[in-house]
Order: sequence, then C-alpha cells, then structure tokens
Amino acid sequence: MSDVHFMRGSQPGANQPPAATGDDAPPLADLLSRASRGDQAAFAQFYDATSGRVYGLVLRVVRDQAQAAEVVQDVYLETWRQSARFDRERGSVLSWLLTIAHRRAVDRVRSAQASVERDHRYAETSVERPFDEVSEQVQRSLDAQRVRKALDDLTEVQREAVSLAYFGGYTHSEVAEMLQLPLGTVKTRIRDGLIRMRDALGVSVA
Amino acid sequence: MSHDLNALVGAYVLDALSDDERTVFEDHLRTCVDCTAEVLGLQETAAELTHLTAAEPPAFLRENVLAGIDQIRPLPPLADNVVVLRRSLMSRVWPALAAAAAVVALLVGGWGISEHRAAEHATAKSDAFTSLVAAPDAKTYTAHMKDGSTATVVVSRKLNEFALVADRMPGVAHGKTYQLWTMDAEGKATSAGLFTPSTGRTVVTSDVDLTKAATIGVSVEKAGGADTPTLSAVVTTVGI
Repeated sequence: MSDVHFMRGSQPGANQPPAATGDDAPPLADLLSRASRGDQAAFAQFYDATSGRVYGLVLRVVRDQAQAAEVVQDVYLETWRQSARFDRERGSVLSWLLTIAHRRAVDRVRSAQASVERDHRYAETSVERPFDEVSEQVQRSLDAQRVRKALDDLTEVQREAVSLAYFGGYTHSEVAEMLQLPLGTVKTRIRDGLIRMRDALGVSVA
Repeated sequence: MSHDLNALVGAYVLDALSDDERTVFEDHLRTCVDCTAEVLGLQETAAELTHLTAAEPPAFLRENVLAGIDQIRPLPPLADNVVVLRRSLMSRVWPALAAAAAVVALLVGGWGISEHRAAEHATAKSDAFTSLVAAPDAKTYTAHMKDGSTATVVVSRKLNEFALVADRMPGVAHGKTYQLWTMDAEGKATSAGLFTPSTGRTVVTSDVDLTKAATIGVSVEKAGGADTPTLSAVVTTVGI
C-alpha cells in the first residue's frame, strides 16, 4: 500500500475542515474520480476531507461508538467500490456520500433496537432542542453556526420533526406518535422544514 | 396517478419512510422528474445538517478503511455509450442503485454491459437503461436486421420504455440518419426519435408511449427524419 502523506492533523473535538475548500484542496469529485482508477492515496485524501461529517452523523444516529465505526467503515468501502459509478447529475459527491451514510446508519439503528427502547431513550433527553446534547461537543464552525441559525428559524414543529427524523432515525410514523400529531401534519412539516432550510442556506444542485 | 406521493419527498430524503413506503416511492421516482429534482435539492440540504454533528473519528477507523480498500477494486463504470431518446428534455431517471446493477449483470449475461473506459462520470443515461433492463416485466425480443445481423429489443410495458441494442450497426451515408419507430396493430407508425450508431455496441432507449405499440422498427431516413417510415429503407421490424 502506498504511503499516505496527507494526514489532516485536527485537534480532538474540532470539526473536520469543510470538504472541497482551501486553495490547494482538490475537489471531492476529482479525488473520487482518481480513486475510481485505483488511486488509494486520493481516496485517503477523500476520507480525510469527509470523515468528520460522516462519522459525526452516523455516531449521532446510532449513538454507539463501536457500531458507528463499523457503519462508517462499511460506507467508505462501498464508496470506494462505487467510485466509478457516481453520477454527477445526481448532485454533489458529499451529499451522495452522506445519503449513503445516513441510510446505513438508520438501517443499523432500526435493526439493532426495538422502537420501544429508542423511544425510552428519547424521552430522557430534552424535547425542545434534541441536539443540545451534541452541540456542546462540537466547536462551532461557521458552517455549523449558519446551519444552526437556519434550523432555529424553523417553527418548533418543523425543527423537531426534521431533527427526530434525521438525527433520531425515526420513521415519520414514529415521529407522529412522539409529537402527538397526525401523520399528514408530520409529513408536511418535514418537507416544509427542509424546503425552508434549503432556501435559507442557498443550496442548489448545479 | 395522483401526486400525493410528492408529500413523501421530505420523509424520503431523511430516510423516515418505512421499507415498504421507500420501495413504492423509489419506484415513483424512476418516472417522476419533479420529485427527483426535489429529492436532489433536499438531499443537499440534509447534507448541510451534518455540520452540526461533525466529530473526529477514531484513528483506527482510518487504518481499517485504508486497509480495506487495499483488498478490493472499484467496480467498473456502467456503459456510457447509451443514446437516450426522450420526449421530455429534462429527463432524469433516478439512478438505479447497486442492486439494480447486479440484476443487470445477471439478466444481461452474455451481452456484458460495456466496460470500456468510461467518461469521467457515469451518466444518468446508462442508469435509464439499467432501470429498464432491471424492470420486473422487462422482455427481450430478437430483431433480425437487413444486413443479416441480429439486434435485441428490451421492452418494459410497466415503465413504458424500450431499448434497442445492436452490435456493429452499419454507419449511415452522409445526410441520412436512423429513425426508430413504434407501430400499432393497424400499422400506423409513430416516431421514437433519430439516432446514429456507435462503433461497437449501440444502445438506444426511448420513452415513447407503448400502450398501443405492437411493433418496433428502424429505418434509414434523410437527416431530420421522416413523418412515416420509408418502407424500402426499413432495417428491421420486431413484434413486441
């Protein structure tokens, strides 16, 4: 295996540097493309640029470090395998990667635990701001602040529904039960919440 | 079909649908341009949420990943020599996931989806073909060409799409083009588009309505195409 010279020496607890920024950082799509031809060093760079976001997300959803590590390893191996099949028309490399990661994290947490158990753990945490338990651990990068503001600008129900679904890994039916709302309402709030955040963050698919 | 399914876009993006709901919704995405576009945009938004939970992974994880990739090769790219003839300009077919590609490998068998060097990115076009071949009701028919070679037509009535796959299709004279047709039981022909063949394997897909189609045909026409097929220039017809 070739030597890897691109260690990102981040401080413990700091966010990973944002992907695909920095004057000399190659865009993720290029790294992926090189990886698809077997360039392991390029994939190592790709890992370094993205693993903080991926691991952090998976950890939040599965709430177990050992399982998070397993899922994340699986995600990256699958990304490596599929690297030649990434379709640029389907969006950014990062959202593709995080979509895979989130789905696998949710699949893991749903198969590993009965709903009842997860509901019980949820009830023990704060209902109003379900991710406070996480925010203390994370240094507030500018990006995180920006996203936090956009999330805070949602209505309470939109925010809770999006958070429970995305970070909690709950189905919309489960969210409806937990929030004591009709399923139709939850569906709408989730969608509206995401749309508002999309507009607030100026996200678009090129 | 009513567009109630559009209400599920948000939950789908956040993986908040049940397995059954997800299957139905992904099926819907294959043919819904609007929902697919919305899904893509909202997936970018969901990706932004991960800034809030970023965390340093343990060092051993990096070692495991790099050791793991040393053991496996990236999968080859999908075919990129697919011509897509679409009614709508903004066609996006939700990319078939790896499972569909595996199904394709099984179904396609002796054809072997072309592994020749891909362009920098796999395109949605090859995924349209992949989805078609992986459709549960996909049927294949042998088309006998005028020059004695055979081609294959793949049809999915459920997806309302078909494809023509031909190897070493002869080039056309300057100022001419191939034209793809569907014909109903009465012999009335509808154009399914124009195409020029690739060297090697030519794959042409079309989403022209197949409800009344009884035959697929190919003819050689003047550049720009014809309103009805020139009968003396028909290259193949195949009943479907």
